[in-house]
Amino acid sequence: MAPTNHAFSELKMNISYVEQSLYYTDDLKQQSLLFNGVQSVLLYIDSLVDQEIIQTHVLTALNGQADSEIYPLFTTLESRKDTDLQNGIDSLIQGKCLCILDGNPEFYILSTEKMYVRNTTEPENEGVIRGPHNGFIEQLSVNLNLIRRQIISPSLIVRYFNVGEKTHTKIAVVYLQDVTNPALIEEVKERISSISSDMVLAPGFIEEFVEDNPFSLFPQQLSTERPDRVIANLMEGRVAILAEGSPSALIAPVTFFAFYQSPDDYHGRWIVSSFLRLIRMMSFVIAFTLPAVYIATISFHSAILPLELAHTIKKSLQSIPFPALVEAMLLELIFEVLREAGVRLPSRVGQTIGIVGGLVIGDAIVRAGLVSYTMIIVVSLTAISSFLVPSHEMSSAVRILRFPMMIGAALFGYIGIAFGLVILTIHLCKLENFGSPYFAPVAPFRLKDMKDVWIRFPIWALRERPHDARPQRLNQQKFSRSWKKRE
Amino acid sequence: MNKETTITRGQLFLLIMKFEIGVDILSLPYRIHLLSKGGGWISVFLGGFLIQLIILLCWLLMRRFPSSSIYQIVTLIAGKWIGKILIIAYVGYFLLMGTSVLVNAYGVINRWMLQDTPRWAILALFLFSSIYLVRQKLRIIARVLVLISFLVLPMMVLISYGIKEINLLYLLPMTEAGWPNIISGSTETLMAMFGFEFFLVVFPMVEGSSGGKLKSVALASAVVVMLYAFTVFICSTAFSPQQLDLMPEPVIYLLRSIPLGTMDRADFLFLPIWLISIFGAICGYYYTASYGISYLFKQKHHKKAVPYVVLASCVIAYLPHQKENLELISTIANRSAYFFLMILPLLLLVLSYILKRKEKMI
Amino acid sequence: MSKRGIALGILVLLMVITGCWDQDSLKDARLANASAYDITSEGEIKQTLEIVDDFESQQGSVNEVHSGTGRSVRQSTDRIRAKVTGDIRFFKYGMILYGKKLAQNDIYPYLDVLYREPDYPTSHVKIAIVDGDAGELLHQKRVGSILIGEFITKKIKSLEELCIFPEMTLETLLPPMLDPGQDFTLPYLYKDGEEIDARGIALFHGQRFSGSLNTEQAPLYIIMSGKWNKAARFVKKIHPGPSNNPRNYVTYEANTEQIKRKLAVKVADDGQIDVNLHIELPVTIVEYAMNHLQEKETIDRLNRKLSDDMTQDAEQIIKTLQQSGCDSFGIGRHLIAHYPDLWKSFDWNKQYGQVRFHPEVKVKIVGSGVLN
Repeated sequence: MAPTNHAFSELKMNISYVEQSLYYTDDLKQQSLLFNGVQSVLLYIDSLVDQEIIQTHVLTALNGQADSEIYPLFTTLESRKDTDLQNGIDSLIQGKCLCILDGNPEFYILSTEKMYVRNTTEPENEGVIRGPHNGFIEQLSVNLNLIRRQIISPSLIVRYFNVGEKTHTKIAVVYLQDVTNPALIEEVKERISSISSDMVLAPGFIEEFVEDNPFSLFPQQLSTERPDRVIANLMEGRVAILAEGSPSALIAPVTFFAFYQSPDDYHGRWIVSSFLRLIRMMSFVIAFTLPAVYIATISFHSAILPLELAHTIKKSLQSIPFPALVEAMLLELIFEVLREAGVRLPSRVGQTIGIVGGLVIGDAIVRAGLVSYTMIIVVSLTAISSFLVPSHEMSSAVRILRFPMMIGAALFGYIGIAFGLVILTIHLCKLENFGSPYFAPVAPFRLKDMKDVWIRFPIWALRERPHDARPQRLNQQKFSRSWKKRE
Repeated sequence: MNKETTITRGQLFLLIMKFEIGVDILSLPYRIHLLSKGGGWISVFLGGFLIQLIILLCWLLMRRFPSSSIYQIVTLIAGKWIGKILIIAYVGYFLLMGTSVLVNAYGVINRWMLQDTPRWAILALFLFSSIYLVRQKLRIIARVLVLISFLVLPMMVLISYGIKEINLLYLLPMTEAGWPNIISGSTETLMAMFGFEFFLVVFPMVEGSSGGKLKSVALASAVVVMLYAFTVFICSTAFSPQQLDLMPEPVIYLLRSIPLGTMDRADFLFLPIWLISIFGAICGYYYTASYGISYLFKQKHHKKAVPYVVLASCVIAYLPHQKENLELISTIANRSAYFFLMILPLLLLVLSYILKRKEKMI
Repeated sequence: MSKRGIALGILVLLMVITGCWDQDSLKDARLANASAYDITSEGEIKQTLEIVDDFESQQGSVNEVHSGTGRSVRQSTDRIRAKVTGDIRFFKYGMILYGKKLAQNDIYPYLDVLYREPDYPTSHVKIAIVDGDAGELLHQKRVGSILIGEFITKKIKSLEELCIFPEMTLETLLPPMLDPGQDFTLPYLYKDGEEIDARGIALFHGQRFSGSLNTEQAPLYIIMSGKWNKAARFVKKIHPGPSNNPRNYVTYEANTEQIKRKLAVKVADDGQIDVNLHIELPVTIVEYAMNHLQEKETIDRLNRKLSDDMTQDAEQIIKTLQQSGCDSFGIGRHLIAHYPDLWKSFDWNKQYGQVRFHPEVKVKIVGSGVLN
């Protein structure tokens, strides 16, 4: 039968058209019934529909009536009329149910989708000590619900998109209309609309389609499963991208320093939070420079060590056959292997591997004379520092950064490290996504925006929004502690 | 000028400061000492004053053409063909200065830190890093250089450790060398402070009024004069005069001998920091040269010219093998600086008054 | 993109074909810790070197001592290298000893290589002169459980704190050595049987060893030079009577934070140079068997006697300095600074002996421990 849009009057032809379009898939079910003497059939894909809804709302409604219009009967269910069979088929795949009457080219599409939801529990990778413990789940509508419940404002806008030729993934772009820069919104919309691919799996695919610099090591959008993080960023004028089937939201545009902020910071005392922030920043530097500095020091410039330390380190290096670079690489790679394996292990075995990997391998490898004790100290400190980052992608980026630095250090000593840092700085300053610089507020240097970067100023001192997303409105609060004046 | 290619006055200030604190901070105390002995720091101040005059001169010229760089000014005043020749001359000058700094930097690394690494390897490092940086838009270059310019602070902190070793008696008598020598010592300061010529090219790209731009550049130079005077002072007092006669790089020597707690070689910390700063200065020269070439060939962005400029510079830096030839590069560069920074702007200024060429006020 | 690819390709290629030229691995280095220089009878330089190795085993660190001779310092080092395995590295150097005979020549030539090499550390290295053969001291290898190099270095450091040795390192040695207006002094050791003992301070004229002060004179000299350290102790016999009766002695310690020293150089019109050196020395009594320190007369009497004694000691010290031609107070430098024309007019070597010094030490007892 030729493809057609218009429904047929004959029931049988409609049915066979639908069946053929769906390639006679086995889970397409029919249920015939009699309504007002008219032969009608309910078509649905049984893996998608909620049988209970069909039972209670559809069948009972239809069975008991006589001689009236069908339409007003479906009061408790979302429904609409259509004559376009193609739409009908699309709806079928979405889990809706078609009700076709013989002799009537109009048919009804009923919403009977079944959804399997899990609890909105706190995401595992992003736990906080103090603060909300809920998280996004795979259903887009639930996620939007969580967001809307916290920003009860008419200027919170949601725009839907459908991407992926075959997957038809539903994407929602969320932003605050009167705060976010319109140019930014346009840019995001344009990039999402230009995605043309068969399959789009959130969030990784979206991120790669939409970002400015796919060749950079550094992540350019923040991916988070926590509603409070999304909300905070929306309030600063950024855009959130959510997708059906993924509990992660992507936030764009984002600066480098956003990856080092944790929601925890805002729920603790500001002096303590500032201290923790500083430690995190330090950990960034340590994570990729420590092995390089160590290699450079013992290979090139041992003179800088204090006398006792020089002798101690030399003692531990005495029986190692490899040069320092090989030793470091070996240990780092073993570490990465252990870490990767640890992700996939079932939790019961995980404990054992922890002990085996850490104590036994660590100690045995030193006794066998393959690696020195000081190298183990360096590598473990580095590894711990790299996990201090609240974001997983950033910690991976930093870990990989280590290796070129080590090579540079092994070739040129401290000069190599200096050049490595220069190249890294150039790269970070060069990165821009959606028009805002990645390394703000360090470059371009804005002292005012620094209030929330290295340390955290008290909440009542953060009067202005940060500049990097170029929001429309800069002032976010007035003088909140006015009662203090009374004292 | 769209937003992509402008820099702010604050950035200009830091940039000029960075460019002027160059290679010569290491050897300035030595060269000044040879001429002025204890009165070295007086020479520094004199030299600083002279630099301000030169900056004023150049500014007077640039002020008449607020939205042109030196390349455009030259073409406007001297006509198309002479202008082109002058542009090539300026490009050559910038290239030479950059190369001279590069050669000096390599020399320092070679003597103090990496003795066995072959020249091409270190030059390759510079090559790749500077191409990577200078290809970017001016804004981004400015951001990176601003960050690098903050390194001046740790450098100065390290140098100020030398205060522990001061023996003021070494300074006296201050006018031991005699005033004529002290004055000629100020020319050494002059040579050490070349770097502000960057603003000849970026003048139009700085946001703000002409007067404001002058203030930024002048202030930056003044700060640099202070820092140089401080360094010369410390070196002159930490070492006996006879010692200074022997040391071509007293600053590094100073740092080598200061114990930082139990750590020994503070110069290993200082030299990489200093090197990054020098790298910034070299990139500044590369940028001005590339900009000139791209202007000559009517390119929209200086990106394409960059690899050629940098490659040429590294090749020149690679060729000489003897110490005298290396020094020749620096000498030529410094001598030509007088021409390009003083004589030519003066000439152009005078010509622009005579020929009544001026940019129309909008 | 292809341009980037080319650049990346070259980069990778470069990294692959390069070696690590300047690598100076700590692991392979054999660290030299202490060295001693003597002159042999043929006039060659004999260098004795202590090399420290570290092992993980129970024995801790071991050291070896080797000698080599040559016409220059570097040559003697190379001769030692020929005898020993591996590379000797000096970057964790601790100490240099010079034999007396060697030090009686100009010592700068022996030090030139140490300042010229960019690799040598100079800020923590201690130097001492040995009365006798310097190499002998190193051959002892160990004193108790400490290696010889470490032992001597620690010894020098602790004696510096006691104001018996002047605080000198290789780095602080260079300015006075090259300065015509100043001379330097160095610690002076000798071997007393099996033990290494301090003989006092070695005085230098120009670059040569020219005289010495003993250990009793040393603390006062250090105070006079203005560079005192933490503790300076003196013992004096103040009561007449037999010398072997400890009651006749008083031991006192200077309160080093409160010492005041004033050095003034005056030049008269006829070129006569006068130097006034005035020292106020508050002290605490450490040992005084005669007691009765609560009485004011005792204290005043002691003050006077000690001041006189110490002023006499100071004069003696200065006489020795002038005899050895050691201008360690830097009088010459003062002249260069304030009277440059006068400086140019004479030969300081001769003139130094003509300088009239007027030392004055005022002792003031401010404490006496917890007893009276």
